Amino acid sequence: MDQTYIDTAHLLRRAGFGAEPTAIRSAAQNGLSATTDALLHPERIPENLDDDATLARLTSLLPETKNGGTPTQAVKMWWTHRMIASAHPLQEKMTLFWHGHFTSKDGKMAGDLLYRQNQMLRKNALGNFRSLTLAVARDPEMLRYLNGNQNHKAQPNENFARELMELYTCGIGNYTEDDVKAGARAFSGWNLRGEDFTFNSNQHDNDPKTFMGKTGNWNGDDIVDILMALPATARRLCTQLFTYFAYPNPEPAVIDALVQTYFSSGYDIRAIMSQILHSQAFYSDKARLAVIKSPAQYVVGTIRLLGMDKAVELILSDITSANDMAANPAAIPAAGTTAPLAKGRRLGVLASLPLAMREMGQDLLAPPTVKGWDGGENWINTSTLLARINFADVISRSRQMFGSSFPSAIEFMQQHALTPEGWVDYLAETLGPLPITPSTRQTLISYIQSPDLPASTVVNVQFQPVRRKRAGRLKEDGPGGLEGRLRGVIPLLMATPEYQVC
Amino acid sequence: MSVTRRDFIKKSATTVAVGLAVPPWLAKMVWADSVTSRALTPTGPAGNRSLVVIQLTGGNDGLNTVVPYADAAYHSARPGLAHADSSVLHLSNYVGLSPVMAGMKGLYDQGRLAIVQGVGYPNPNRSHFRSMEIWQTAEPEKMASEGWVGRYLDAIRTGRTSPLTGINIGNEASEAFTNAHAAVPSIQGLANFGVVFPRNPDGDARTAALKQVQLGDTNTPYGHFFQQTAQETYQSADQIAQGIKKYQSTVQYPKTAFGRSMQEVAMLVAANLGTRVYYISTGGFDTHAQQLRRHGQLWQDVSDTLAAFQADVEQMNAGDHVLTLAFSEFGRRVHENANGGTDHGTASEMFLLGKPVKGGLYGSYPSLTDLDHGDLKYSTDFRAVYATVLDRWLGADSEVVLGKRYEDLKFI
Repeated sequence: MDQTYIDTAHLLRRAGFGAEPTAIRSAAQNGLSATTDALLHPERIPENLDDDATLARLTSLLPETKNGGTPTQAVKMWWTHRMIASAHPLQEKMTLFWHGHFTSKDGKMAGDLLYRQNQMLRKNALGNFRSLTLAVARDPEMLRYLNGNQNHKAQPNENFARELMELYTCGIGNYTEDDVKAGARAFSGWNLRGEDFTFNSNQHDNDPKTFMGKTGNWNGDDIVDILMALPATARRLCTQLFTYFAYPNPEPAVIDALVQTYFSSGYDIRAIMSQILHSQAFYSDKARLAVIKSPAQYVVGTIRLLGMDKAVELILSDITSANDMAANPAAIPAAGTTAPLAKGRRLGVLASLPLAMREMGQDLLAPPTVKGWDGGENWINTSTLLARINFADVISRSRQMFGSSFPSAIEFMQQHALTPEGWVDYLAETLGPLPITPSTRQTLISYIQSPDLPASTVVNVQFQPVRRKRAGRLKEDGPGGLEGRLRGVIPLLMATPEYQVC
Repeated sequence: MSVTRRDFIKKSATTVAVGLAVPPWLAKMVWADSVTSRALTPTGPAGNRSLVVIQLTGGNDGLNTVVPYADAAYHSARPGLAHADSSVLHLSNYVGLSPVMAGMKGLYDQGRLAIVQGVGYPNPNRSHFRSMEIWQTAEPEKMASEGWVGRYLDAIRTGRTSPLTGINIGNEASEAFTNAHAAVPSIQGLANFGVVFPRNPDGDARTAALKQVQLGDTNTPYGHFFQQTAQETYQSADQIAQGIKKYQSTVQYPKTAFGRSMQEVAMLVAANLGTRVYYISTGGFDTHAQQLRRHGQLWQDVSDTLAAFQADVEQMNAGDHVLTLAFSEFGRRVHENANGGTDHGTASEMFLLGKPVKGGLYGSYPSLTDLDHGDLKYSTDFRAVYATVLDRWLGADSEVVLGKRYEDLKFI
């Protein structure tokens, strides 16, 4: 396997959610630099997704909320699909990054506001950090979440001002309690009217405030400007971005260079990201497999690596089409499908993806605290590791998901004249390429060739058509349960330490 | 609360069973937040004591739970909802338990139940979400990133924590567990905990291969960490599977979700796995409408379940080791609304149950006429209850865990 392929796979995993081998090869042909630039410039590639329509349709299929608004669950499903399907993978990855940075959390009936916030984050994902922070400060969901809506002249609410400094910009140790108080006063009157931002001038404190040693009649924009210009803000943001995309504990010199770009570009996120993704550090040994996959990466990545994104697309187009599929069974497109599935069941397949992330410790739109997700080793514990394997197991047996890519593993092997060794190697390449150890490889081969199987290689095994007993689940038949064993290699590979990192 | 999310989870749990299910044998965990460094040491031995925290989600109407039946203001504020004097299970000449709470009345009469009245916190928040977060983090003033149970588990930690030091029952992880170091498993359905590839005809061979690929050699970054975690997973699952075999009981629990879950807590108590805190939620307390019927059903369930649980724990001779605490994120308004319900309010009761408890009424019942915007004024800070439990039961220094010293309520 040539180095360019490995480098391209690395880039596509980090600056997105990974891709199938064919897509990696095609990107490798374009070259790393051109591929990186394409990722950095989503505006150059058309996107064919109708977000509002998808969300509305998903909402109509879910139980109605008390206030008739959008269920948060619909937003989670819409976003999960977007991560899988978008032509702008880096923009999606950065939207996820910003969601963990400028956290908000699903309160009661906050679906509509969370959707708007998510689109705002996406729009600014590769834009200017100052503009993004200002948009966050005016974001209705943020005003609700951190009580900006209750920030009045007579009784300033400090919640947003505190988090703005502690978590969003300069970080703890770089401000005082007096700065929090002054900051809160500067944001007083930044409230909501209905579900929209409004500047409530008679609730705004117009007296002079001393913030970070500077005195003036500051408003919220001034506070953001002062915070943007702090070296601590620059360092913190650059470190966070580098850690998220390249590797943890970066060398000070690496961050110094990014901080310089932060200031010289006027807080341009794209410029910082470009520098990270084009850097030698990004392709250094230290960066390889150095990031523990987030649950979103694990779920979305698996679907993309195994080519199941097409199945998701079909499910979504079916459940979001106005025509009820039950009325027109012939229109059901999923490969290998013989009987129509109820719309609710197909909706369930899509719903299970954010649910699986939640089981693994990343509940989209509901980070555990205002700090977001710590990531790294915190993703992995006894429960979440099992949840990953469980997802791997279930998805590899789903007729609608894995079955759409591989209606029959036996048939696939026959077509490609693959031995069990070849099947294991093929999957290890597709899921990474994964650098599994020889002993892991041997375990998987032995698993396929357990004693109850004929010693002959699989290509010589008489092919029997896969029968389906129950809707939704792939049949584990073939000689000695061969079909099931071949598919069983998938969850086993997905359980390896190698697959937990990217 | 979170009607949409809860409902959806229920819905998808059934919908999904035939498709891409996440079966219930393991739900989510609560994970770490980095902690600012500070010295945390337990101040005394907690032995094999454990605490069961029961979260009554939705905002329990304290007035119709521990009823001030002798107060004319109660009856006039609630013409449709007030319990009649004669039906209330009298605890004193002022208050009594809701008529459905015979189980808890029995516990009270045995001196097993302490009721702290008028519990709340300054500047009460009436959002379910935020108020629950305040209770879980024990921090009303600002957004905190650690839960109070998590801070406690961190305080008693020595070296790498056992994954079973805290256990969350159900699939709704609680922010109370969030902390720096302890990863707390959520268990939904003990029978299948840790079972991998459960429905696969090839399950055994595949599980054997799974152990080999997880525990075998690897040279990837974090490889050792993944191996160690996998090892702990298998150990925990084995410990639970072996441990719950010790459970034998003649106690009948209510055939409700809460009843079944509390029986699983009892099984874990019997297993004696070194668990310090069990956390369990039961919902439906957001009674904006038709409260009389619904609130009655809820407390019938809770009261009968707690009586069964306590009997079970004592039957297995673990009575001296288990303390149960129940709370809700807020109480409800004094005046009933037009829909036969009550809206979000403030102060309410907390319950402490167990053999170690000094039974009785604690704190003062809030005045029903001296109100703050139509709501009860709290008299006891909930953090004083936490502090008493931490200091007197869990062998921790409450000041370290809660950041401040609170009144010792002496109910243990």
